[in-house]
Amino acid sequence: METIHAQNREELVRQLVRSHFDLEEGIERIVWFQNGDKEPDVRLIEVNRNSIVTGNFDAFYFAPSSDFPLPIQIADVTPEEWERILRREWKLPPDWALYKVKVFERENQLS
Amino acid sequence: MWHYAFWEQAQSDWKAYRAIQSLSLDDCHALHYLQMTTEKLAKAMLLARGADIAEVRHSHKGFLRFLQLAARHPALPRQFNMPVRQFLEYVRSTLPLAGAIEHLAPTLAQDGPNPEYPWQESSGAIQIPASYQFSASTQLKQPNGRKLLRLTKAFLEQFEILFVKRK
Repeated sequence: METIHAQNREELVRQLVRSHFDLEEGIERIVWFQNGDKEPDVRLIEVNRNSIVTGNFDAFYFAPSSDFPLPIQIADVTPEEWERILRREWKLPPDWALYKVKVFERENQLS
Repeated sequence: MWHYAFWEQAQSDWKAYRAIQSLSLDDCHALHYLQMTTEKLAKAMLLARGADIAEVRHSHKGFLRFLQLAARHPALPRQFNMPVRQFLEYVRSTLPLAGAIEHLAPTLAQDGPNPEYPWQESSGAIQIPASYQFSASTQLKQPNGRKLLRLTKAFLEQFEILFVKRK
């Protein structure tokens, strides 16, 4: 896969974030996990009040494509599940570290 | 390679589901195989992302959560020859039925309707899967049901392309 520079990568993620806020009104914020930069995958948690509760951290991988050239790992969580993650009551996989994240809030993306 | 193992079994369950359509069997059998297909496909997807087999083994709700995410993923509408919004609505229209099928797993059904084991209703009546009228069976013959089956088939067929990391 063609190398995508950091600036383009950030712009692609921002486009994806805006699109997801636009398509799913239940998303309150999107958290981009930026540790483990050696991996090309973009790792996102979408805090979505319309998500179902499963009791598990269900992240799925989507391969890169012509419509979105970056591989993505993405998980939906409810606001309550996100609070549990922040309180460290729910352990995320090792490559999803909370110390290096960028948070996109709905009100800042669609204004 | 756990994800390939679950994918292969999901494909086999799907084959059984399709084969049962041509037989005069009670609805519970087809529903059983469809529920198994979607559960194992979701597990294969979770494992392909890198999830731990010990966590995934006891998960039964992955398919509905996957569909919610798939509905807004930018790469998928093209696979179905649809604009983004149309694909979103297409997938969303299948979610109630996908949830109903997911909840047919005996673990989630919790002494309620499921295609495998008899259960007792609050009235005291004992229901038998073989003679029970599952609403999911009726819905699968309607437009949203056909959409769900189309999605399931496509995700099974394109699993390696869409959901597995290239080395």
